[in-house]
Amino acid sequence: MKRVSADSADEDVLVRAAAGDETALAELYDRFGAVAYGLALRVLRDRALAEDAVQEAFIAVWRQGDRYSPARGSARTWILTLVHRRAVDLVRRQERQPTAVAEPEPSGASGEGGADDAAVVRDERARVQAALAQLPRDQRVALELAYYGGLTQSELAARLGEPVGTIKSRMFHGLRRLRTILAAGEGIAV
Amino acid sequence: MTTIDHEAARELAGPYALDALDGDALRAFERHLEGCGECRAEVDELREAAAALAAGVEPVEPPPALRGRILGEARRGGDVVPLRRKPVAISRSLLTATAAAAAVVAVGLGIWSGSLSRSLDRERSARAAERSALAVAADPSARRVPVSGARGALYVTRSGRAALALVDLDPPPDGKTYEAWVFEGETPRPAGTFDGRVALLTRRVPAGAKVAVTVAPAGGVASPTGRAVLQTQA
Repeated sequence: MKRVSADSADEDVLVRAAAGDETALAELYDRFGAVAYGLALRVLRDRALAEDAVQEAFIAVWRQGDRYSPARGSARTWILTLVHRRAVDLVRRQERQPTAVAEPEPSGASGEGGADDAAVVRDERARVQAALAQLPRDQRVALELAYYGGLTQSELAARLGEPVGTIKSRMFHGLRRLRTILAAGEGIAV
Repeated sequence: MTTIDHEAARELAGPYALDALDGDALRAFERHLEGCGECRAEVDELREAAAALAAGVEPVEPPPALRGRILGEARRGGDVVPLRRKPVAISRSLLTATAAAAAVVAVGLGIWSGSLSRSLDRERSARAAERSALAVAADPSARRVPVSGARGALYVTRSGRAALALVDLDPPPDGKTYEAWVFEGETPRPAGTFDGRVALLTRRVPAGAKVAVTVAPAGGVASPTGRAVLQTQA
């Protein structure tokens, strides 16, 4: 649910947060917290760790927000990149553990935004999933295992029994194609 | 130091944008990125696509307390903490170690530096010790017991394996270390020394046992001296 500065662009809010405006940080959290947590949970499958990943990422936004450059991408991408990086970092530590980490699914608690927000989010998800479905299967699998599973290119190559070079290429072409498909829809989702 | 040429680097842009690089490949690519605008531009585009994958995930409303924790930490942090000056100060969140946090930021921005790399290497060796502790903390059967004296918690599995995960713990003074104690009745037994914020106790913690942490001379001591910096009861 959009709050205080509902009309401000994400990028402006990020710049304000970087300048030390706490309400701007809160606003970013309100905008991206549920997406960030959903993403972290998908990668980590552990609520406590997912919370850590999100907390760490938002603190990085707060402390290092001045490193963000609008020329290099959207605020949303920058924030989700921090969340994802943090989540895979944690999942890789977990996966090296002898103790298997159970996979509690989220309790189905979803965003508590208004009906309009929920519809927008559903629409976005559907669009991304439809775009993924249009990718060649090999590329889609590579993207999903890497991004959602936190696998490195080497782990992915080992799991799929393919050379690392093949995996690199699938990731590269998969991302490019995904971008093209999404851009061909109504504006890119990011 | 591994270096790679532009053609080899280009191939890594996809895996990099998906955070699927690690180790030497990651370091080599980031060094290349510092000097290659073309690869940076490529990464930026691919990152946008990768972030779209995040939109393919169902958003989940985080626990309400998380918002307060983040804003509270931001408030306490006050001014921006220099990235490299004192790694431990960068991130107070417990599972995170400094250079890892720095790395997150650096990776996100495509910046890197020798000094960051070195601090990351140090971090990696420290992490090895943390891994076992993290396994305990992540064990779904582990109970989480709040501690007094510091922010954080003691995690105890059913079998009594225990780990401390502490937020806001400053590094021990020079020549000192933190030492954990598990009480048998009123007698403290040494349960390992640690300098980080995550520690696996070397002694099992029975239900109801008191656990404390003191500052001890490097290497640890057999019986505690001084005030406990934190304590709790399992």
